Amino acid sequence: MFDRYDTLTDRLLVFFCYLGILILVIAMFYPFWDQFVMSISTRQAALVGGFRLWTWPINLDGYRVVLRSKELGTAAMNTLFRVVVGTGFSVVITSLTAYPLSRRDLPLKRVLTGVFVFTMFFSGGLIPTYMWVRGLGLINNPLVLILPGLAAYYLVIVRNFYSGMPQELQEAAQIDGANDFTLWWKVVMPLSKPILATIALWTAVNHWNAYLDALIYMTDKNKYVLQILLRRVLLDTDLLNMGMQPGQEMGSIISRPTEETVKAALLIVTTVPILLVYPFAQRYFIQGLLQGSVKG
Amino acid sequence: MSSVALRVGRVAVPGAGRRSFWQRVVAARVLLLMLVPGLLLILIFNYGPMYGLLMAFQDFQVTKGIWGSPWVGLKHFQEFFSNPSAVNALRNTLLISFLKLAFGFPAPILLAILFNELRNGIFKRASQTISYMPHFVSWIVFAALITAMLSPSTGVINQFLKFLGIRPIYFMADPGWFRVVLIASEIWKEIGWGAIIYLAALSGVDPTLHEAAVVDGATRIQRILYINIPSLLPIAALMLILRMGGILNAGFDQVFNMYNVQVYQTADIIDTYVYRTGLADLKYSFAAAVGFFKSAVGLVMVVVVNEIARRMSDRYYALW
Repeated sequence: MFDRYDTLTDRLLVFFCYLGILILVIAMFYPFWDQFVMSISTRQAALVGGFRLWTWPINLDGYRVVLRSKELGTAAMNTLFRVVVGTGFSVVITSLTAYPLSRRDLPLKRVLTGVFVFTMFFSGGLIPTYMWVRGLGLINNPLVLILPGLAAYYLVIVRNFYSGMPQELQEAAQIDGANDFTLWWKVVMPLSKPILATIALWTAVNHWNAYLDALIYMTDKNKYVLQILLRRVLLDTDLLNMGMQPGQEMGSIISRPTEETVKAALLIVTTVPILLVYPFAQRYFIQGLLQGSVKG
Repeated sequence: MSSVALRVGRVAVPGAGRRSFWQRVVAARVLLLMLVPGLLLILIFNYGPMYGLLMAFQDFQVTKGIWGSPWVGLKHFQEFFSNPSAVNALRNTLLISFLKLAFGFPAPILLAILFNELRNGIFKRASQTISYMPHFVSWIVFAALITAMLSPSTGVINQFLKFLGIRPIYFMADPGWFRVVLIASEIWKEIGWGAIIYLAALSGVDPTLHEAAVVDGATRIQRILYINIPSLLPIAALMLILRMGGILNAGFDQVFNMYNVQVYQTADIIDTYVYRTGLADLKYSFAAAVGFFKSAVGLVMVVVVNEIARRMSDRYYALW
């Protein structure tokens, strides 16, 4: 904990660093833990407030209600669809677009890059976008969650990575008779696995957490994603604001006694997958963050 | 590879720069074709809505579309500045954004300095991992966690206040307290993640600096003050400037999932205002005009901020 040459005040400082971080970490973790304990509490225990470290007896009714509900199954499938298909689509289209933009022999390189980068800084905004998508007839079409998957930010990161690849590679492949598309698919794609893995992880997390597009475009109950289900069940003040009764939307989850344990179980079930994945993938996330801040 | 001999000639064109534009287009035809899907996507999903922005200058009617709706010039922009709740949203946006900057900006720097004093080991790694955790959780989940923590009856904060003999506070429904909740929860969610970039900068500090300082008898506090903090200043200054570019983004996802009618007065920001007027009150053109104002100011801010960052960092941290 201390270095050999630390003075007494140094040791005190280091001690307070450890203490401060310990308190911070507990404060950050506690709300999640609290919901977990709530999710396995009996109804009576859930109504008692305050600091919760553990509960006894354990009651798994919350999980039974949640896991049996038809809504959760449907929403989980919809989320899975957008995470898997959406991420795959985004990674391929990002790489496919980034590669030509990284090549020095691309005519109009600056203009074409500008056309993509501009979308990072200016957009039509919520209402025109909604109206436009509605005009395209994509309301309640799951493709609308997938197709706008070419983010300029990731495009720039991948392009910078490709710009740093040795030019000899491309010349060697051309001598072997490969055209640019084959070169991209057979040589560039395999070589860029680390950067594409980073992008894929980010995109997957974004898809898992995304709600606004689903909220405005997916009005059909069977098209809800997990985050929308969560919003309906956990933050029902919104429904009250809109003049609706909570419960009239989500049949089997809310029509049962709206116990706090059921809500907590739903929160845990939809959050745990991401919390299980990210500690193992954080290396890639951090790499992406630091790469994004460096311009090519 | 049967066509090796033929291809060699094409690859090794000397003085390729002198070829005409069309020759270069033909040579790069496959590359250009590869761009087509991406271009189509952004034309449809990014540039299409920008064309839709024209509705901000119309009295847009869904049945008539952009082609048939009557033009009204700047009517909706004038209405924006004379509408009290729109002006209120603009004021809240700036205020919340500045408060988040004032408190949320130094927080990760401080955390990085604390982390840097820890020995590399399991405690440091575990606490760093936990500190990133909230960043990966959606604001919907976060809003639920915060509501549970701050509940007047069962929340742990109010239980503690009760223990101290203080009456419960309705944090989520009190216009004054709600802003505090917004800023504190933003820090809670982003502090660990925000510290990464500063930790990276600290790990890049030349270790001989610290060794020399130790030999000269510098204490840890002196080394923090005279080595660590000065080496964080350039990156911190740039981060601050880049954040200024998003000053009109007060955090839609956060406010949208946490606010309610009782706190509109202090919590409603431009983005949430646009959402409600556009999609709940169906005032499409007015909402589009408000949104357009925000995007346009945002674009100008980004350009200015980028120019400053470019000059400060010798192009290294500029976006273009």
